[in-house]
This record gives sequence, structure tokens and C-alpha cells, in this order.
Amino acid sequence: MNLFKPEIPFPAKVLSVNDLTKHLKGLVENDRLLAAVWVQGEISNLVKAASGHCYFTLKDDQAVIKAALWAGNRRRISVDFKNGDFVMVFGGLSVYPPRGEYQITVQDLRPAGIGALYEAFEKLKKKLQAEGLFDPERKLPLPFLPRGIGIVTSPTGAVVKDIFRVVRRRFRNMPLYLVPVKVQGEGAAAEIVSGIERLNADSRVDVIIIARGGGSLEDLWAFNEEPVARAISASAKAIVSAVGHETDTTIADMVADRRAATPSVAGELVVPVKAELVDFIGRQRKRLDRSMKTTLQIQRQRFRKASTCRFLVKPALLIAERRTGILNLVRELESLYKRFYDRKVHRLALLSVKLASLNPKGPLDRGYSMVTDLEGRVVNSIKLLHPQQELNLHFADGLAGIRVNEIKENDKGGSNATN
Amino acid sequence: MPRINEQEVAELVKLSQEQIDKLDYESAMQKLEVVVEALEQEGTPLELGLRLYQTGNALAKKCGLALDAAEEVMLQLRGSIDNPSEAPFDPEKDGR
Repeated sequence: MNLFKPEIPFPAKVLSVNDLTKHLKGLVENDRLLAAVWVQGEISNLVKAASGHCYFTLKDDQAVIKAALWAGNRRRISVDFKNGDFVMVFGGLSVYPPRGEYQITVQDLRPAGIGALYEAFEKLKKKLQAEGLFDPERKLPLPFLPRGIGIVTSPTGAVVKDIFRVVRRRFRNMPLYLVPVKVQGEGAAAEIVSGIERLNADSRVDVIIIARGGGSLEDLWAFNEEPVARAISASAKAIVSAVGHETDTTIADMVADRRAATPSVAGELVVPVKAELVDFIGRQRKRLDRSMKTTLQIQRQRFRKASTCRFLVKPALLIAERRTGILNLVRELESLYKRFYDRKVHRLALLSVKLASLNPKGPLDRGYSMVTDLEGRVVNSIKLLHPQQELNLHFADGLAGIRVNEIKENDKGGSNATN
Repeated sequence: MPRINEQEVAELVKLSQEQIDKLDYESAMQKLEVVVEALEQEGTPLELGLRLYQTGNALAKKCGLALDAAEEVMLQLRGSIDNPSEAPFDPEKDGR
């Protein structure tokens, strides 16, 4: 050991360890960057003291730093943590002279990676929500029976198999168009976006399923990226999302027109059961047949009733009936005339009898005689007479001149005049 | 018997064969029913009766043909629906 190196002169001033450490402490603790910094690494040597303070080492593959989390700050941290967790912590650096160590005094601790993603997720969610991309009125209705179903997912794994199986079971010959994409990792989002666009341009497709199996937030991340959300929102065709498990909702699920809890449910949502449709159609067809038959029967009957009108079948009736009408009229006319004539004849007879009875000469024929004075006036009372008066006595065939001898008045009854 | 609309009857007998050919079944049938009613009503003038007879015949022919055609269509359709065709879906060929 060479104690006297010629390059280094003998020191004029020697610092104590304390002085040195104090200087270092001043440098570190007065640095603006080091006073408030986020740093991330894996937790190791975690000690949770009874006092509530925590001590641990944050490390990556090349360096370590000690960390202290005081009880007061620890209470404000909601996440749990343990050795091996990859976290990001916020705090200030300090130097602890008694041990000659520096450490970070932790004020906040969040899961790293996930923490950042989670924040991005919340930020995008808020943004898209504000734009109204999740609004129920934006949701497109699923077609009742699509001509074809587009699927954007990984070509391998259970998801695509589940969807195919369910759709096949429900509708054997339903066309399925798979756009195979990466569902995680670099470039996944871009592939998903292009898949959605490609299926939108495909006229054979009426509804689109985007699907992925369960996974961590990082695994599902592509479905939380804005371009994917925009592509779903811009899709003119209804999109059903089946991403991850029911509990991990992605942005894609929120923008999609319908969210399915699992890929199988997505298959059920997009296609009806063919057998039920066929059955329904069959029943409707029978009803249609029955009602068509009934309609035809009713119309036939109506037609028969109208077309068998006797005048249409035998138009001669039109004339014959009128001929009969004329005959009837003539007959009626005749009978009316006869009655009229008969009445006249009858009346004539009656009048003739009456006339005959009123002829003053009539009684003369039967033996009565009529007395008149010489002027021809009928004498029908003795009061018109005086003795010796000359009168004419009329007979049917002539008259005789007479003289009144005596006048005698009846007590009752008629007078008596004799010659 | 319901009162007959004289004006309707007057219009009816003016229908030409061409116009009758263009009528649908229901209109032709309604007109035929009016014709029959008018024919059966007492007091229809003879000349009008004859014209009604001519119109009625043309209308009845039209209705009868329409009914026959409808029945024919129904029978034909029933035959074709009973034998539907179905193209099976081939995922290897159609899927991507």
C-alpha cells in the first residue's frame, strides 16, 4: 500500500463525515427535481412496522433506492402493495446521515403501468362521454336477421370458436366473416380499426362482433384506445362488443351498440334461432293460406250472388216482365172500364125506375083518375072546390067534363068528390 | 232493399269495356252489386235495364276472371313454398 501518492498533495483541510453528509443532504434536499418526483420500480424488502410506517426498496434491474412511507401518508393511499409489485411512487428525496443513506419519502403510491393506463382510461372515458359517444340514442339497433355477421377477433383461441359454435347452432347457414386481428400488443388497435372499417365496407355484413377473451387491463388495452372507440362510433353497422370478462368494461364496450357479457352471448344477440323462425313462418303461412282461402270463398259467394241475378242470367226476363206488366195493365184497364160501365148501366136503370114512378100519367094507367080545374090546375083538396064548379076528370085515354054536386069534408082521411 | 243512387247508376252504364278492364276486383264487384240492385228494383226503365244488363255482364266476367287468377296464384305459391331451397354456409370458403 502506497500511502504517499505524489499526484495528491497532503490535504490542507479535512471534512468530517458529518460535514460531508450535511453538504450532500443540502444538495439533495434543495434540488427542485428531487423534492417532488415520480419514480417507478419493483418493491422489495418491504417492512410494515407496527407504528404504521413502511420501509421498502424500490429497484429495477440496475439500481435500487430506499423508500419510506410514513403512517400519515400511508393512510391516504388506497391501493395495497406487496413485495414484487411494480409501482410508481411520488415523493421527495432526503438524506439520512446516521446511516449514510438517501431515500425517497413517499407521499403517493400507485400501481405502475396499470396506474398510468387507468388514468388514460379515465381521461378518454370522460372525453368520449362529454362528446356523447356513449349516449343511448346513438346506439344502432341490431338487425333482426343479418345477411352476414362480421367478426373482428383473434383467429385462434376459444373466443372465435365460441362465436362460431353459437351462431351455427342457432342459424346453420348464417354467413360469418372473420377479420383476424391481433387483440393485444403493438399494432392491435390499428388492426381492430381496419377490421371494423373493412367489415363496414363489406355489403355482405349487417352486424359486427368485436371480441376478445379475458385479461389484465394491459391485455385489454387495445380496446381502450381512442382510434378503436372512434371506429366503433363511426360504424354504420351495429357493433356488439364482447371484450374481456363482464367485470372489466372497456371503452369499446361503452361505445359499442350492444355489450355482450361473453362471446357466446354476442353470438346469441346477433342472430335469431332459425328453427324458431322457420316454425313461425310455417305457422304464419298456414294462417295466410287459411285466410286467403276464406277470402276467396267469401268473394266467390258474393260473386255468385251478384252474377246469378235473374236479369243477368236471362235478360229476356227484362222484356218478358215488362210484357206481363203491360198485359196486366191492359187487363186492369179492361176490368176498370167494365166496372165503370156497369156502374153507369146500373145507375141508368135506377133512374129509369125512379123516373117512371114520377110520371103523373102512370097512376091513370092503373085506374086512378086526376081532377083539374078548367085551367088545367090539379085539384087535390075539397077546399079548392065550390058547388056546381066545372072540372075535368082525366083518364089515361081521355077526359070527361064534370060538375060538383055536393062537398063533404072527411073527419079524417081524404076528401071524396063525385059527380 | 237500399235506395239506389241514381247518379251512380247513370255513371255505371257509361263505363266502357276498357274502363272495366282497368278496374280492380273490389271496385268491379261493388259496381256489379249496384247493377244487380238497380236491375232488381221495380220501375227501372227498360232502356236503362238493358244497359245495366250489358254493363253487369262485363263486370261479372271481369270479377270471375280476377277470382280465377287469384286462386291460381295461391295454388302455385303453395306448391313452391313447400319446396324451399337452402344453400348451406361453408365457413372455410366464405369465412375469412
